[in-house]
Amino acid sequence: MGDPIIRNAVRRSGRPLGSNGPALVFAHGFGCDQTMWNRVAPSFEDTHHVILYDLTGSGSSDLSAYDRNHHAALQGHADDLIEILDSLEIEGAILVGHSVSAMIGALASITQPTRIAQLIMLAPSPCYLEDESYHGGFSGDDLHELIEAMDENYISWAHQLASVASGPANDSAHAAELGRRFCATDHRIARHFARVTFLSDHRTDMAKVPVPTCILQCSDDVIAPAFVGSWLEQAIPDAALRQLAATGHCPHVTAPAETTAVIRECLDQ
Amino acid sequence: MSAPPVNLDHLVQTVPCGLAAGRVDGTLTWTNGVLERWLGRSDLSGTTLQSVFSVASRMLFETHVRPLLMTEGIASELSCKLVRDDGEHLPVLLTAHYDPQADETSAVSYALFSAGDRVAYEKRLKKARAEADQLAAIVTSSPDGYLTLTRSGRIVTTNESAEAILIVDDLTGILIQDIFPDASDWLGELSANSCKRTRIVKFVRRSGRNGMPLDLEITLSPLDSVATDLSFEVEWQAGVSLIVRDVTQRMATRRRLETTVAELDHRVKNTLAIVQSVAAQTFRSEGAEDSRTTAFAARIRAMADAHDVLTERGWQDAELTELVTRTLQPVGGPSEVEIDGEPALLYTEDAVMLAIAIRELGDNAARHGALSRENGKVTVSWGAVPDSDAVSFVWQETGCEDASTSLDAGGFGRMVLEQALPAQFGKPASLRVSAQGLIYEIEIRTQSVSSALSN
Repeated sequence: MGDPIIRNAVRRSGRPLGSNGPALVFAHGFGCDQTMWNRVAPSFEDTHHVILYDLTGSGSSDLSAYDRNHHAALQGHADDLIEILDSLEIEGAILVGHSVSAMIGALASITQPTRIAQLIMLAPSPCYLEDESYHGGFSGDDLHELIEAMDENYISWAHQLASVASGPANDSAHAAELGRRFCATDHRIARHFARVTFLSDHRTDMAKVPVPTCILQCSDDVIAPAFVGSWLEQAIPDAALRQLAATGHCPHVTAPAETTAVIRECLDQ
Repeated sequence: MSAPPVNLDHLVQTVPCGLAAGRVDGTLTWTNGVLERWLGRSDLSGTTLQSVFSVASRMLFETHVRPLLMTEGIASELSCKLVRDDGEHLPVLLTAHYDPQADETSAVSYALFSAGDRVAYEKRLKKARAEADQLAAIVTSSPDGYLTLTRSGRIVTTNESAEAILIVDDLTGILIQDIFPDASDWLGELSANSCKRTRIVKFVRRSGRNGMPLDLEITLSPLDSVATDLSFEVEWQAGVSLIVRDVTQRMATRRRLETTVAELDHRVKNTLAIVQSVAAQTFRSEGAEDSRTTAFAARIRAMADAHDVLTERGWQDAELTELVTRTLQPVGGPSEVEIDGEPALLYTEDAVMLAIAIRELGDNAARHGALSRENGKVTVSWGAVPDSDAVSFVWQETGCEDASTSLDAGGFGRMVLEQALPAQFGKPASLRVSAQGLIYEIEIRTQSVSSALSN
């Protein structure tokens, strides 16, 4: 097993580790990479040791480390996260996990409770598929169609990821570099990860989450609908639900100011 | 800028693409008539564009498009599906632009192009590509070497096995003639037959790793594609496929087998010769008649001849014409013995017994029957028995009016013809004397009988 810091393209900034207060780890969701946090994470550099990383198989992570067996369940990604924290010898971190990474963080906290002291879940869902009494929002057919849509878009996607790098929206070499790898990943890994993510069902694990958890629920989020946020609040022992005015599934991108403010409120609790 | 010569509002409403504008949060503030017509509704303001997407497109939009749009300012030509008022899905290509400096009611603008045909075409293309990828994977992992060549012999593509078998690190661009000196002739042979679906197979021995000899089987065939159908020569274009297989093991096994069979054949014939000389010595010391010694020797010789026929065909089968011809050679030439029948392949286990029987008939004819007369003649013929793989075999002597037979009841010849052969084939035999001479008939099973075999 390679160095998890390199494997997961871990980037650290802000106050030195252990100087004052817990480390703040930002984990990105399905579809993109750590650059998703670019409008939120820097705000915490004054107060925290900030850690960003790419899930194995996403962004600038070592794609060769993506193992279809190890990563056949979210627990594989949770183990990756624990390895990162282990190698940095971080205890009691606060994990801000978006979307699927909210569940990855929850599984990591169950597996290794000393490493994570608090979870902040942004647009989380423990199960995307509908059943009789649970309204996750999706059917198996929807998932199949999503993977097909990802396939259809693969070529134009790869093309524009290359072209946005030099586009007018980027004002620096750094931005160009970020743009180049923005959301870029191996197509086959993306398909596999989509399946693992959207077929996951961690509802029964939620009762075992051992740490205080903030659930940040967006308005009008098709991926993680309001029903799911309420369900999680009931299921996780020490949970607090906060409603965001931001719409959609990516408030840290579309409404960074509100997202930053709410995360800070959660930290201060 | 001067006033536009067209009615801009009319243009925007009727231009052949859907147009929309909205806020950062996704709510629409304006849509054009085309988009409204596509969706079959005019109440889009205040809703979001995602809300008219299919579920999967909505997921794609939320997880991929919107983050890209917000961070990079543009998302181009994304394949999505709109859901019409009547539930129909309408494939579109979506381009969205985000301008943080624009008025907040139109910070995001969208253009949508109908893409039904293109999506269907790309689906077919994707399927074809997946199939091609599978074939390519087979070629890549094959232990055989695969190469494509230009018609003049320059290597265009190869798989790894080709480079391993030919012991060249990078074959691309090399002339095949530099590897196989005879390749010019092969390519010539191929282009001479290029109008047909040709395949040329060659065996080559060359030095392999460690200087050990390597037997290679090489198959050349023209590449069958639209491009190569064109008559003009394109220097860089592949026109020939070449498959190279390492058959060293196979050839070694074959050579060993051939040696073993030859040795066995030699020993069997040796044994038959010993039996013959032992018998001759024995008969002489016992004062036996010469005729009996000769008859015995002829029978052993018939067995040896049958054995030769079998060996020549690798003990797979024995061809009837060949067997009859060879067995009767000591008895009479073509003017006395007429052989007439389609080629038929006998089972190996039947060949020796049949040869002995034919030899008995031949010897009898030479001593007492048609071949002992001035104008006597023997006709050996057979024809296919309908709906079976058997042939009806007929021995007929002519020109022998006062024929009788010396095939004594209880003698060896009669025993072979009336008992042993019928038992071998499980068919009755008929041995009789007509006004012209002796006639013998029996049905013989074969592996196959065909006029096609004569080619």
